[in-house]
Order: sequence, then structure tokens, then C-alpha cells
Amino acid sequence: MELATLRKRGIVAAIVTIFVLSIFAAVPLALTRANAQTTTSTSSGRDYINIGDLEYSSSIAVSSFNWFSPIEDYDLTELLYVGLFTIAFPPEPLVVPVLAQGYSVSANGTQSVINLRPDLKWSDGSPLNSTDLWYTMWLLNQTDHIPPPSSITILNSTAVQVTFPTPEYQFVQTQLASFDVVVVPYEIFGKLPVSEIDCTSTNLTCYSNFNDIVADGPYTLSNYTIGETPIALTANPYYFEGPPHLKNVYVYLYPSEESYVAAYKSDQLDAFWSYGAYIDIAPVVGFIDHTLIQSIPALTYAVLFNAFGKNYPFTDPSFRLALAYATNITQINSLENGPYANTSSSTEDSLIPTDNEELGLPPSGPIGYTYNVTEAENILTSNGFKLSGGKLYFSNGTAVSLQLAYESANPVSPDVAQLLATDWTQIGIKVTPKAEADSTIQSLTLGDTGWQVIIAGDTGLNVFGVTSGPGIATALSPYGYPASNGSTVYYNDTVGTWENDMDVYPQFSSQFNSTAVEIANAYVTQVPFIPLFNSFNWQSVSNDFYWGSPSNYTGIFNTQSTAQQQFYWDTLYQVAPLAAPTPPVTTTTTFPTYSTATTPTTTSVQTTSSAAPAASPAIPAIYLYVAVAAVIIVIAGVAATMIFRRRQ
Amino acid sequence: MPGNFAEIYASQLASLHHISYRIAYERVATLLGLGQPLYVQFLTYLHEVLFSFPPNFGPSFEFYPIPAWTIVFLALRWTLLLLGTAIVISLALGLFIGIFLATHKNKSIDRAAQPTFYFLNSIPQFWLGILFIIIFAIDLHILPATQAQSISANPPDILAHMVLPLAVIVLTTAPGYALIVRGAAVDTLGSDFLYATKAQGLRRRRLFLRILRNSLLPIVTNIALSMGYLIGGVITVELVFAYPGLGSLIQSAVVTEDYPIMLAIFYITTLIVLLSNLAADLIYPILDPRVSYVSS
Repeated sequence: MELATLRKRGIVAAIVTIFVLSIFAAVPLALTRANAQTTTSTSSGRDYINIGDLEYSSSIAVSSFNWFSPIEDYDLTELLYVGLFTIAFPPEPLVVPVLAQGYSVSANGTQSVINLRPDLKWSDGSPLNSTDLWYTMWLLNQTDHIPPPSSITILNSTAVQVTFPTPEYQFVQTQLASFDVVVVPYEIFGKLPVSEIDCTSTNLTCYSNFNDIVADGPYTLSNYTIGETPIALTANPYYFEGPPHLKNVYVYLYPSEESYVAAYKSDQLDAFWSYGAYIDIAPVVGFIDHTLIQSIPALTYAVLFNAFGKNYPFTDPSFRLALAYATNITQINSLENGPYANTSSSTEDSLIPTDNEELGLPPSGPIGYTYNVTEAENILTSNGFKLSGGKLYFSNGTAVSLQLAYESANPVSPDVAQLLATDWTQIGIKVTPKAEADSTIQSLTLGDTGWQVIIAGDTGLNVFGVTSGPGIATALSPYGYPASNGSTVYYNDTVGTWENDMDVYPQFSSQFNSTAVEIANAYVTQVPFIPLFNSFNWQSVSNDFYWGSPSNYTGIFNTQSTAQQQFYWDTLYQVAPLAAPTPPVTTTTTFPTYSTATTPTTTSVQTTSSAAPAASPAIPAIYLYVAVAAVIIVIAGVAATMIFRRRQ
Repeated sequence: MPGNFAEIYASQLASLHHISYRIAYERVATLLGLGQPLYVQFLTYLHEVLFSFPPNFGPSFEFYPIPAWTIVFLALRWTLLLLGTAIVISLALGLFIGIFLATHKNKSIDRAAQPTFYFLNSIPQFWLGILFIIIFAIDLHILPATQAQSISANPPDILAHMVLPLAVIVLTTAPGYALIVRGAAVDTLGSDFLYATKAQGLRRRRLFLRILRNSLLPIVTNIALSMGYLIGGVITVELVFAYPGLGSLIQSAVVTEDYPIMLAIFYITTLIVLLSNLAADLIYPILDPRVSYVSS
């Protein structure tokens, strides 16, 4: 056969292959386009919404929908089950009933009566009543979630009384509301052994609650296969606030921030949720057809010290205080929260000023370390440290160095670690940042080895002064202070006493207040942690989607926003309805620092938020990259051709 | 080795159940049989992996108590779909383009194609993936940026979600195959047996098939040897496109220190590489009669 013929065959084969592959790609392409057009044209009338959920730790599946399981998927479980109570932020009362209608505490604090709303129903239409609530309380006790009650009694079809042997004034707040305790159906859970429900069974069985879920939330699970997304949720016709207007919610799980952002920007999703600093949400800011919502605070980021045992110098309060003065909190906050830094200043005091005053504290709360390197150096040198040649030395001449661990998967932490390293280097300390897995950070803080200083975000840190809770124990338990007999007394014991005091005295009683002030003073004098900044819950929502009309209440807002409220950790609970679909509206709900204002402000602006600067358009830059790549290819091709020709 | 599931699980139990960490850890240790001697634990583990079907790597830490193998198998389906399709298309393109270039040896198109293909072959897949997402999904809105399926999980929908990751893999692997095939085809075209075959008056179609078959040998070897690399490469592509395959899974397993999942993935990856090498060895005699495993 002639070579020319062979060439022709090769050309024909190549053309046919390309043609076949083009068809292969074109069919789904055309279908996708058709779908996209349909979506656009009916965006104001469709009965479903696509929502994403960033799952750093479970990219392909949710772990469990069983609230009692240690590995349950909080975000999604909260869509299916409504909490009895939730914690609100000022000016709302701290404890807000949701599924419950209310509660009362007896004068001596030993009896709490919880009332359910009347005529509640499970998603299968069966009544949700005090039997379910009684069983839930029993289960909470069996699984060590609440202090052991002496009795749990059904008073009527909606009320249950829990009696404790000792006063528990804060039971509803600290045990039910803080943990978003839900009611579970007795008919389903009651047939299972407790060890299977709380996943402590010795035969490794654990109730995941994946199939035939009977729930009370706005949505029920209509389709879930492990390993497949989206997870389909359907409106619960028996939801206590009425069935949600949106019939379906589809939830997509994302293993990385980048893919989540890409999905939202490409209109695969109608809403983007993020909890963290402003820089976490910044990648999606700047799209004029989207609305950015800043809502309730999420985590307080802070520097924690390993002050266990003999971990000098971290056991020395003066060393911790010096580090606090050497930390440029304003700069860190500005970097992380950008235009929202003024609403995210570092504070772990969530009290409104009047409450602070009632406790006998300054209105703005007790904590405040002003950035002052000289002050930090003075504290160190007056406590036995030596500064020489820009380096800090212990009294024995050894250079001071520390290892700063941070969460590797948290986008905020590496930047903060770098800034802290820069700050502390100014007072002569050699700082070595070290990335660790989130779970490692969590387990490290429980022990006294393997770490020195950690950057961590914790919701517990901002409950200071209000209540006992995990925050106090987490923050203060490792720290010791010298007793009058020369020994070291650890806050572990003191915290236990404090927690007890906070529970056995009514809120804002004199004993309660004095304990709160004692805790506040401990924070100031002991510097158990250095508060850095608050992060927030953020949503960016597509304005292409019809979010509802304030005039006729046809959309997802206000009471109907509970679908979102559950999903976004209560964040849209207080968000005003969005006008739809144009002009673009930016609704910003901000919670200012209480040192400067007393109430949160809600603003609606008929433009893109001035506080949220528009991101520079990315497309031209990309096309520039493509053009550069194309030029490189052409130049390389021409050069290669010339080289080959010369050789020949 | 960083991470300890018992400690992590115990800390979760402790914080959720308001019990002390020590009590929680004791419960977890009993639950997982950590009280047994280390060698007994290891032998039990080996027995479960080697003599159970499917292999029992224990429960996933992240998806406890779902077995790690079940989670890996779920992800494997998507990886095999993506990787399998990509290999078939890359192979087809590589073969035809390679032969085409061989038959146009030293012509302008051949000279231009070679550096271009080297360039394409060296592009990082994650970079190309991000570029494709920005252009085709975010800017043009013609293809989905992420995931493997949407609400209507029908074949066209799954194909639509596969186009971008597939294009990335094909664009970065097919040029390599094309260059290998080109080299092999150039050798074949200049070989004596081809002249002899022509002289015998063999039909054109059969002649073409002979060139094809002789050019296949190096590429079969290459695919078998590079299977591990291909699986490694697809991991980054899956991450960029949030494709729910082994790539996304191993990323989350590393982040959460989910060792059973990691071990199951390494096990199955090793198995795939070994089996593909075995398959390559078995295919050789079919493609080239000179290779035989039967002693004369």
C-alpha cells in the first residue's frame, strides 16, 4: 500500500474520531444548556432550591442523621429536626423557644417544666406530644447529656416536668438551648437499645437514622443513598409553621472551598454559606446579582496556651500577658474580616452593656489588651526575662522559642499564624508555625503534651460571663494559680465550683453576679487565652432566585426562612425578606461590638454593599492567561519547526 | 503516625455526653478491643483484610460504623467511570493521532505537533481544571463546574458533569500516548516486514491493522506502568471538580486521619496496578506472536 493512501486513512480516521467525540460531548452539552435556559426562565417560579454545604471532612457522604450519634451531620440533621430551644443574640432574649412553647423554673431551681407547642405532628402525621418529650429527656439522661434528674414526669399532653435533686436554674439554657436539643420520636427510637442510639454498643452497631426518617423539621429526607449527591429533601406537610413554600431542597456536599465557590459562581447553587472570617466569603463577593448577608457570630478565634503542669513559661501569667500586649489584634482582625472588621472586633463578651453593668463590669466588658510592644517588653524584663540583640532569653540564658500549631484545613489559620509569628518575633521570641489536622488540634488541647501554643476557633469562648458551659471549662481548666500555701491550684477545680454556683443561683442574683465577676477577673488576670477576632455566619444568595415578596409572604423569609434557619445554624432567622428579583439588594445584618452600640442594626441597601468591595473581574485575567499560553505554544511550535528544518 | 481515632472519638463522646475524657476513652478502648496485645490486634487485622470478602478494613473513622470498604467502593464507581472513559478516549486519540503524525513524519504538522504535545502533556491537571471551570462553567455557563450528577441523575446529566474533568484528563494524557504511538509507528513504517507485507499484496485494511497492532505494544506497556500515576492524577482532577471519587475521598481521609479509608484505597490502588500489569503481560502474546509464555 502506498504511504499516501495510508496517510489518507489516518486523516479520515482522525476526522471520524473527532466527529464521534464531538457528538459524545455535544449531546450532554446541549442538554445542559437547555436545562440552564429552563432554570433561568422559571427561576422565579420553581419549587426547589440548590444549596451547597462545605464538608471538609466528609466529601461524599454524611455520617449520620441521628442527633445522639457523636458523628451526626449537624447541618443536615438540623434541617430534619427542630430544636426545642435555641440561643439568640441581643436584643433577642438569650433563650428562644422553637418547638417548645416555653418553660418555667420553680423558685428553688429544682424543677423545670417544658411546654411543647400544641397540636404538633411528626412528618408521618402522627402526634408529637409529651410522650416523645418525656422519652427524649429520659434518653438525654441515659446518654449523659443532662445532669441526673430525680424524676421526669408527664404533666399533660404537652408538658413534662424534670426534677433535679439540686438547683439547676440554667438547665434549659445550658443543657437544652446551648446544644440545640431536639425531640426524637418515641415510636422509632424507643425500640432501639440506648447503646445503639449513642453509638457505644460493644458490637459496633450504631443507629444512623438513614431510612424512613420520621422528623419534625421543615423538611424530610426523600432520597439519600450513601455516597451520592444531591441529598434530596421534601417539604414536611406537618411542619409546625406550615409546610415550606419550597417543596424541595437539594443539598450538595463539597470537599473544598474552591470547588464550592466554583459551583456557586457557575450558578449550580442558589445559596452559598460560610462561617468564618470575611476572607472566607470574599471569593464570592463582587457579583452584583448576588446578595451578601452577614449574620450572627460564629466562632471566636483565640490563642490558647498549654499551661498544664510544668510547661514554663506558659504557666506564667506574666508571659501570657506579655504575648497578649505584643499581639496586634487590630491588624489580624482587619486582615481576616476586611471591611467588616469593625463588627468583628475581638471580644468574648456576648453580653449587652446593661447586663455587664448589672454584673458590676464596665459596659464594654472586662477584656482589652491594647497592642503595645514596649509594655510587653517591660512585663517580660520585670519578670526575669532578658532582651538582648533582638532576642528574648530566660534568666538562665536560654533563648525563648515556641511552636505555634494551627488547623491546616482552616483557611483562616495559616495567615493568622504568620501574623502572630511576626508580632511575637518583635519581642525576641522565635516562633515556629506548624500545621496540624483539625482533629489533632482538638485532641491535643485535651492533653498536656505535644503542643505549646494553638490558634483555635471555639464557640465556647464567647459565653463568658453569661453562663457556665463548655467555654469556661475549655478556656480555663488548664490554668493554675498560686494558692496561699504555695501550692498550685488548678482552675479545673475552681471552674467546677463556678459552674455549680452559676447553676444553683438564679440569673442576676447577687451570688450569680459575683461569680460572673470572679470569672471575668480571672480572664483578665490569668490571660487564659488571647482573643483575636470573631467570625460570622455568612450567606451569599443568588438574586436570580425568587426569594419571596414581603407584601404577600410567598417566599422563603421570616417564618418560612426556618428552612434556611435550620440549615444555616439559625442565621437567617433574623434576616429581613429580600426583594426579588431586581434591582440587586444587599441586606446586611450586623452585630456591632457592644462597647460602641447597644443594639444590632439591620440595613437594606439598594446597591451592592459599600462595605463589601467588588472583586476585580476574573475573566479578562483568565483570557490573558489563555492568550499567553497560546502565544507560548505558537512560539514553541515555530521554534521547534525551525530547529528541525535546520537539522535536516 | 499522627492522629488517633480512639482519642478523637473519645473527645467527641466526652464533649457530647458531658463525661470525663478518661471515661470516654475507656469506653472507646473497650469498643475497639484496644486492650488486647498489639500482635493480636495486628493478626486480627491481617486476617480480616486477607481472608474476608470483601476485605474488612474495619469501620471508617469518619463514617463510623460504616465499613471503610463500603465507602471506598462507592467512590470507586465514579473513579472507574471517569478514569475508564478517559483512558479509552485518550487511547483512541493517541493511536490515531500518533499514526497520523508518523505518516506525516517531518512535515510541518508533525514538527508543530511534537512540542505542542510535550507542552500539553506537562500542563498540571489541576491548573487546566480551574481554567476550564472559569471559562466553561462560570463565564460561559455551558457546563456544570462540579459534582458527578444533579437532581435528574440520568445518563446525559452524568455525561454533562463528566465532560470537563474528562476533557482535562484526555487533554493532558492523550498527547503523551500520541507521541509514544508516533515513535512506534515510525519504526513500524520503516521496518522490513512492512515492505515484505506490502510486497505480498496484503489488503490495505489489513496492512493498516498491522501497523496499528505493532504500535499498540509500547502503549499497552505504558498504560500498565502508568496506572498508578493515572489514579494519582485523577485525584487532583476529582478534587478540583468535587467529583465524588477516590480522589475526593482520599483527600478527606487524609484531612480527618481516617486510616481505614486510606488503607482501603491504597489496597485497591495497588490491586489495580498489579492487575493492569498482569493484563498487559497477558495481552502481549495476543498483540505480538513473538512473545510467548509457552516453552518450545
